[in-house]
Amino acid sequence: MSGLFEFVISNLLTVSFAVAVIGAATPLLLAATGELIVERSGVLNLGVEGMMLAGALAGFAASQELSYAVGIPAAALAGALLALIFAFFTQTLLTNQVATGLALTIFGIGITKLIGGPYTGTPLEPMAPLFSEGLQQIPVAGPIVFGHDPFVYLSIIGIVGTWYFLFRTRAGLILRAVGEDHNSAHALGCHVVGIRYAAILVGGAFAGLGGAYMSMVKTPQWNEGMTAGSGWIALALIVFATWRPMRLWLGAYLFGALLVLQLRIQGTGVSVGVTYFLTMVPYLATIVVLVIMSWDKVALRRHAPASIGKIFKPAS
Amino acid sequence: MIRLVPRTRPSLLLQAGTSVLAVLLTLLFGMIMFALLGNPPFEVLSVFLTSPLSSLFDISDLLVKAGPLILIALGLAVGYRANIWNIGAEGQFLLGSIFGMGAVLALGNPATFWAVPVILIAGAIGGMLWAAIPAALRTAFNASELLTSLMLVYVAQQLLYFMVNQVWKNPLSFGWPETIELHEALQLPALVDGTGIHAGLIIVVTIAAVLAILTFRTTFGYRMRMAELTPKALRFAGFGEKATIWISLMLSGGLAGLAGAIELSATFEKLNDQFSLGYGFTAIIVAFLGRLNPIGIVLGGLLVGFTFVGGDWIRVSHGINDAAADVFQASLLFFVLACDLITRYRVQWVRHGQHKRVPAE
Repeated sequence: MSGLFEFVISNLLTVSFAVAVIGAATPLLLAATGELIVERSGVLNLGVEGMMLAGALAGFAASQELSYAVGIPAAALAGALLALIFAFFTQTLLTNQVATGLALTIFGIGITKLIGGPYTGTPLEPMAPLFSEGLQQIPVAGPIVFGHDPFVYLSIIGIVGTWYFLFRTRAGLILRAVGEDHNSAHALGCHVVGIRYAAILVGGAFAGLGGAYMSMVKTPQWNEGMTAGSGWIALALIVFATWRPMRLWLGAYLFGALLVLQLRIQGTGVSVGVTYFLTMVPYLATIVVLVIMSWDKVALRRHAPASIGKIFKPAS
Repeated sequence: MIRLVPRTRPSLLLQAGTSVLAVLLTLLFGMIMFALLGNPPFEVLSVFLTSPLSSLFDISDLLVKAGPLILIALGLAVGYRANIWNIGAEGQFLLGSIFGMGAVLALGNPATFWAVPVILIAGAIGGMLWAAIPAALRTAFNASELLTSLMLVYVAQQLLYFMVNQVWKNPLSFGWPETIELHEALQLPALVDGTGIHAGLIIVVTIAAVLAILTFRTTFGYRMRMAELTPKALRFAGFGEKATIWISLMLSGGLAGLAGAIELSATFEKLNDQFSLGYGFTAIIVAFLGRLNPIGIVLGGLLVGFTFVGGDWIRVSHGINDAAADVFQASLLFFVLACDLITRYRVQWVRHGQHKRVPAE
């Protein structure tokens, strides 16, 4: 037991650990940032996993065929395209959001499996870090601050930008108002459906980027169903953060630390039987986090957007 | 300008009509998909539509695939009616198969058919125990059963891998991750010689009939259906919130576990790491296709079973990936949800400026 403790401590305080944590957390942070915007507008999109897979495949394919510069926007576009289906169904056709989101995830898993077959197992050159060699050689700060690929910086700009947008701009205030009480917002002249369309599309683009990070940087390869539940963990992270951007950022990195630690313990040559249980850890941790955060019903209700999941149909 | 007027009571004819419309739209979508994949759409579609009913073998395959889907969806629908979202039936299904296999091994793989009920009950208990976790976390700590039940699917998968790779691995399996085979006496017998149609399907039909009678012919079912019509139907009329959560999850978990044990006994005859075809997730589609009512679910399950077999055939005939069936099923759900708009609302076309002249609802 003390061996494990020493292992944890000696691993936590290294630069390589910090770099690995940022890498592991980035897909979760990207996807969760998008879903946060969606949920703040009062919509629950359970299709995150499907949109991530669409982004993963589109990003991988475009990078392999053309270049990374095309791959990144392609991933965002693929995620947004799936989100458009969701938006049309839930906002225009007024379908149940839970059922539509589940359908979107199943659709995303299926369609990427169908189209992605030829790309399975094909190689992709790892993406180079954004900054020059010289900057990365600065001790400690070099690898942690300058050692990453563009996705990591995108995810940070994304979450800080989301915070600024939601809490420091007029448009963000309107989006939150729509999420809190769509009938009042409608009465005040806000275009509820249009705002939600926009939020859902942006959310899809972020989810697509999150998926693309997994296929373009982390592995880098395409495999069917490769997101392995990350989209659902991103949904749980939002509850952990009680719908607040900065806490979401923290939560994603804490979760990233857990993922890296779990992988490193697996790498120390534990017996094969134990690895199955170590693989369970992120999913069990998600459950634990949900339990702790949901405990205080009142606090949860205070922070959750009040209109979430409800169908908006203007009286006509 | 489109105006939506809510209907007070959607007619049965309309519901049936919109279901047919949804199927037609799905087929149209499928043809576009086949064409985009570079296949002759009409040719593929005709294979897809005709082959599942072309031979006794295919019909049997269809029924065998529909069986577990119907069983799982019957349970899920009860919860969905009350806004209890168990989406982790896949995990409960796997636990059912693990518990079923546990019973087989605990009894020493006996050569007696009378052990089969024990195996099936063990499976149902396994599914219920797995579903009890989200139920307990929801009732005690208010944790979303939707996310916790789903997370437990991934945990159940690892548990299955652990069991077939480590604990129950057959030493004579040449390294394959699988258990020993069930004794012939423990395998649910075929109902029609030379096909896979097995006695487990009788269980499925019986449970569907019981639930249909419960829903449409008893006061409990009537109150349950009324509760669904109110927007905040978190409870079945007459039950408290906690009881509703427990009833929903125990029923859906138990039926999913039972489905896992039936698959073990009738179809797979051993446990391996490829045990599920994703039935637990596909059953969610079946539940909605069936409009959350038992009779509809039986029809929905047959329809989805049809797409599985059709998908197998177009893979053989045109080399189309079997994920085509998944896409078909998901788009079927999309179109059913969309067509629901017509059953729930009357769509009226109004010219601009005409709003005010229409009397208020």
